[in-house]
Amino acid sequence: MGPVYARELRGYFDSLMGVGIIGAFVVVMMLLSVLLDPLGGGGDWFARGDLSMRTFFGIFPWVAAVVVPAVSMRLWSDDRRQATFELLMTLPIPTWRIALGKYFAGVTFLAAMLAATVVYPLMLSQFGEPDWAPVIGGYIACFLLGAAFVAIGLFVSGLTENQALAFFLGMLICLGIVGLGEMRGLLGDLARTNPESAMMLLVSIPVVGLGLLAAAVGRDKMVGISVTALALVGNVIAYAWRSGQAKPDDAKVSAATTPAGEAVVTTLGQISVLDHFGEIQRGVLNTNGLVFFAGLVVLFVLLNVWSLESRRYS
Amino acid sequence: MINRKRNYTWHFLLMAIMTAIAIGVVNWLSMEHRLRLDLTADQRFSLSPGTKALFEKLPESIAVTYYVDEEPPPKRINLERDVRDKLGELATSSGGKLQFTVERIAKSEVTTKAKDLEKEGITQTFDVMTAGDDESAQARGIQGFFSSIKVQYGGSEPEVINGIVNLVDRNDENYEHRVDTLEFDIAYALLRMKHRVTRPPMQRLLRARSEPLEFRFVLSVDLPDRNKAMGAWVHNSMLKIAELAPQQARYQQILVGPDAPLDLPDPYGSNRTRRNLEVGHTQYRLVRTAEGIVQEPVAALYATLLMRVSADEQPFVFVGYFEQENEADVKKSIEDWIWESLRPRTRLGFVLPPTLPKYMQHARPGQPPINGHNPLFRFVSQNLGYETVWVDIQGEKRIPRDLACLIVMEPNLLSEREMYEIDRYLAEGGNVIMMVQAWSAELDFGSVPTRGDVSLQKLDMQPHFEEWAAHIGFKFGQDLLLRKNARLSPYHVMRDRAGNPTAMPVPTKLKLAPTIAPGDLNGENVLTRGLGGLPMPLPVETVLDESRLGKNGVTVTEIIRMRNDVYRLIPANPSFPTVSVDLDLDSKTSVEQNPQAQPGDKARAQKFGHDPLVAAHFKGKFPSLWADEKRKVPGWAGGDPSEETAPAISGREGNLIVFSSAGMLNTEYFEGYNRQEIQPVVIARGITLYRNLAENFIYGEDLVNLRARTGVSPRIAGPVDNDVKVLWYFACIAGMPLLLAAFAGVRAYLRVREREEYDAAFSGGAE
Repeated sequence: MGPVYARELRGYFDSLMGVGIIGAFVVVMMLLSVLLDPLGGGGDWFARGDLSMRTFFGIFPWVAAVVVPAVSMRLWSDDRRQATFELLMTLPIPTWRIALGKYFAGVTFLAAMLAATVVYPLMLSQFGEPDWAPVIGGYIACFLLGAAFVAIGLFVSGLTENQALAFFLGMLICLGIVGLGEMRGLLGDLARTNPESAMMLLVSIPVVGLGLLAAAVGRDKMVGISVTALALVGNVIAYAWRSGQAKPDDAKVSAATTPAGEAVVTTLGQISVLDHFGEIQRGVLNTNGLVFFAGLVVLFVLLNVWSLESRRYS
Repeated sequence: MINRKRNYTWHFLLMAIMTAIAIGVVNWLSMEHRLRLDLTADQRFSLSPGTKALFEKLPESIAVTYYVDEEPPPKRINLERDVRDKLGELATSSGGKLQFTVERIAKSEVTTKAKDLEKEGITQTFDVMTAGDDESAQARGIQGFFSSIKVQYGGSEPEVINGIVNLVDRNDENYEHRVDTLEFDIAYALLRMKHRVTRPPMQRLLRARSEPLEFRFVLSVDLPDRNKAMGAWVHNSMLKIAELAPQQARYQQILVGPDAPLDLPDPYGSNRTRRNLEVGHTQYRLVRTAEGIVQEPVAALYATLLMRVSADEQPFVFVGYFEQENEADVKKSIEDWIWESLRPRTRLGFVLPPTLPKYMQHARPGQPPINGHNPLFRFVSQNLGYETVWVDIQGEKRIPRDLACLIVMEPNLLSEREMYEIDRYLAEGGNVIMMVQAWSAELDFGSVPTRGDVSLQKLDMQPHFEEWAAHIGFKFGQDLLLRKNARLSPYHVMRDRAGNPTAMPVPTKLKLAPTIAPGDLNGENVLTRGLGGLPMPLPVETVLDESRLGKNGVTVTEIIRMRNDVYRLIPANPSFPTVSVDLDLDSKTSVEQNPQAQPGDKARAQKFGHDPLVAAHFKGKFPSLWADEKRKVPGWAGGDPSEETAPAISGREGNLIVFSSAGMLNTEYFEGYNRQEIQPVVIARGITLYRNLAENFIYGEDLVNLRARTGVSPRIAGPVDNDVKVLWYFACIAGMPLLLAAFAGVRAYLRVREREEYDAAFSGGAE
C-alpha cells in the first residue's frame, strides 16, 4: 500500500496539476467567502464583522463537489490511459490494498488543499478572540465530506478510462448528494402531504443515479436506461395516485402526519450530507455524523474494490 | 458453460446491496444511540445549565406549537426549516421533555384564522424592508407573516412568543425573538409560568383581606333599555360576590335620578366630588335651533362600579362590562377585575428629575414631577403589570425597602442627602439602576426654519455623586460621544391648518444619538434583549477603575459598549459648547481621524481611541462612601449636616446598573422624530429596557442563568484601517497561490537542473 500511496501522491506534485488545483481552490474559496459571501447578505468579511468562517464552510460542500472529483478523477483513469492498470492488477497485492493506497493519496491531497486555507483562521485570530471550536469543527467536517467525495471519485474513476467522464460523473454524484440535503425541506413538505410519493422519490433517487451511471459507463447501456425509466415512471404513478385522493387539511400539518411520512422525514435527516456537515461544522461532534461519513467512505471504497475485482477476474 | 463475467457482476451487485444494507443498519443504530460532544467554548449548542436546571424543576412535559405562515416573505424562505431544526435540537437536548408540533397557516386562511389566533395572543410580525441603517433609510415595504410559538406546560395558561425570525442578515439581530434566542425565549416563558401567582378561589381571596373592600355601584334609575339588563347583572353579580365574605366585601348600590349632576358627591361619603363616573352616554348633544347649532346638556347617566381597598387610596373603577352578554360573564369579568386589582405586584421605585419649567403649570403637589421621563413611567405603571412608585426621597426622607429595584433618573443632579440615602440603600443589598445624563441639548428651534448650530449644555456632576461613584470604582468621561450610525437631529415646529404641531427635522449631517447596533450589545446578557436600534442621546463613557472594583469585590458585566467609528466632540468654546449641524464625521478638515494626534484648532471632533463602555452591571457588596469615610450624615434640602457620623453598615450583596445616557428613556428628546418612528423605535424599545431591568430583579438568578442567545459569533474588536484590510485580503486570496507558484517554480528549476546534470553525465559517459 505504501509504494502505491507514495507514487500517487508524487503524481499530484510532479506536474503543475496539483499546485494548480490547490491554488484555484484557495482563490475560489477565499474570493467567495472573504469578499463576496453569496450565501449571506453579501459584503466582505470586515463589513460582516463576524469572527467566524461560517461562509467558508457554508460554500465548501458545493466547491468540493466540483474540485474533489477533479482531484480523484485521475486515480484509476490515469493508470488505465497509460496502460499501467494491467500492471497493477497483475501485481501480487490484493486489490483493496492498491485501492486504499490510492484513496489515502487522494485524502492527503485533500488535507493539503484545506491546509492551504490556513490564512483565514490566522486572520480571525488577528482581529479578536474567535470561538475555535466551530473553526476546528468546520475543518473536520470539510475533511470528512472531502474524504467521502474522494471515495466517490475513486469509485467512478475505476469505472472508466476517460478522465473527463470520470470527473463529470463524480461531480454529478457529489452535487447530487449535496443537493439532496438542500432538497430536504422540499421533500419533507412532500412527505407530509404525499408520503407515498415522497418515499418513492427517495428510493428512486439512488436508483436513477445508478441507472444513469450504468448507462454512462456500463457495457449494456439499455439496462441502465431501462432502470432509470422505470424509476421515473414509478414516481409519476405514485404522485398521480396520491394526488387523486382527498387532500388533508392544509392549515394544520404536524411534523409528520403518517408513519410513512415520518420515515421519509427521518431518513432524509439521516442521509442529508449538509445536516451532518452543518452539525460538525459548528463544533458539535456526534457519532451519528461520523458514522455517516465513515459509511460513505467504506461503501464507495468497497464498491471500487469489487468493481475492479469483477473486471480483474472477468 | 459457466458465464464467469455474469457471476462476478452478480457477486458485485450482491455485495454492494449487502454492504449498503449493513451501513444503513449501522447508521440507524448510530442515530438511535448517538453520542454528542459540544466542543464550543460555552457549550453553545447544548442546553445551558440554567435551562437544564429549569427543566428539571418542571416534572411535566412541555408542549411547544410553532405557528408559521405557509408563504413567508422571500427573505424568510428558510424560516420554518430553521425554527423546526432549532426546536428539534432543543427536543433532543431536553431528553424528550420538550415536544413540538408545527402548524402551517395557508395564505387563503390567514383572514379567517387570524381572529382565532388573536384570541390566543398569536399575532403577525412585520418585516420592514429598509435600505441603510440610519433614519435616511427609505422604507421599501412591509410584509406581515405569522411566526409565533405557543408554550404550554401542565395546566398553566400558555405563553405566546410572537415575531420569531431567522438570522438572514445583520439587521435581523435587532429582533428580540430569533432562532438563536429560542432556547432563552422558551425557557423564559416557562420561568414566567412557574412564577405566575395562581389565582385563589374568590372566597379565599376575599376572606384573606385584613381590611374590608368597599364596593359602590352608582346606577342611574333611568338607564336606556339596552343598558338596563347590564345594570341588573352587575348588581346581582356583586350581591353574589359579597355573599362569599360579607365581612370583607361590603357592597352598596347607590341609585341616582335623572337630574344627577356631572360632579357627583363621593360615593364613599367624603366631602370631595367625583367627576367622570358616568358610563355610556354623551354629556352634550348638538341641537339645531333658530340661532344655529348649540350644545344642549344631556342628563348624566351612571353605571359605575367602584372598589376601595383602603381609605387612603383612590378607588379602582370597573369599566369592562360592555362586551358581556349575560350575567355569568359579567360576574366573571368582575372577579377578574378584583383579582387584577388585588394580586401581588412587583414594586418598582422611580426617582425622577424635577418638573420642566414648561410643564410647571400642570404640576400638582404630591404627584410625580412632569418631564420627558413621565410617558414611559406612566406606561410601565399601566401596562407592564408592575406597581410603580414615585420615590420622593427629599419629601418622604426615606427610600421604601420593599422595592424590587429603584430606578434613578439623572442621579448626577441629586443632593448629597439623596445620594446618601441611595448609598445606604445599595449597601444594604438594594437593586439600583442609574440613568446618568451628562449633557443636554436644546433641539427645538421654534417655528422659524433655521440651520443654526445646536446648543449643548454640560450638566452638573455633583461632587458628592462623583466621589460616590469613584468610591465604588467608576467614573464618567467628559467627552460627548458621536457616531455616524446615529439619530436625533434638531427640528422646528410647524403647524398644519388645524393648528396641530408637526416637528420638521432640520437637515443635518450630525446626529446626536448613536443608535445601539447589535454589535454594541453584550448578547449573552439578558438585559440587552431587544435593545438593538434604541437611540442613546448624548452619551458619555463609563470608565471603570478595575483595581478599586477588585478591592471592593464588585464584579462588572458589560451591557453596552459602543463599537466601530466612535468620535468625541471638541467644542470650539468649552464654556458655551455648540455643535455645527453641518459637522460631517467624514470631513478631513474638521474631524481628526487619528485618535493619538493632537487635534488642530479647526478640529471639531476626533476619533475615539477605544470602544467606550456606556452601560454596565455591577454586582457585589457595595461600600458606603459616608460610612467608610466616617463622614457626617448630610442635611436635608441643603441644610447643615447632622452632628452624627454615618453609621456603619453590615453590607449585603446588591446590584447597580449604570447607563450613561438617560436620554434613551426621555421622550422629550424624540419630539422631532417622525411620528411613525416614535412608537416602534423609542417607546417600544424604551419599554423593553424597563421590562428587562425590572425582570432582571424579579426573577433573579433563575433568569440571569438562562443563556440569552446561541449561535452568534464573536465580532471583530475595534475599527480596522483600510490598509490592513487590503493586506489581509491580499494574503487570503493571493498569498497561498503565490507561495505555491514559487514552490512549483523552484521545483521546476531543480528538475531542469537535475535533467541537465543527468544529460551532462549521460553525454559525458557516452564520450
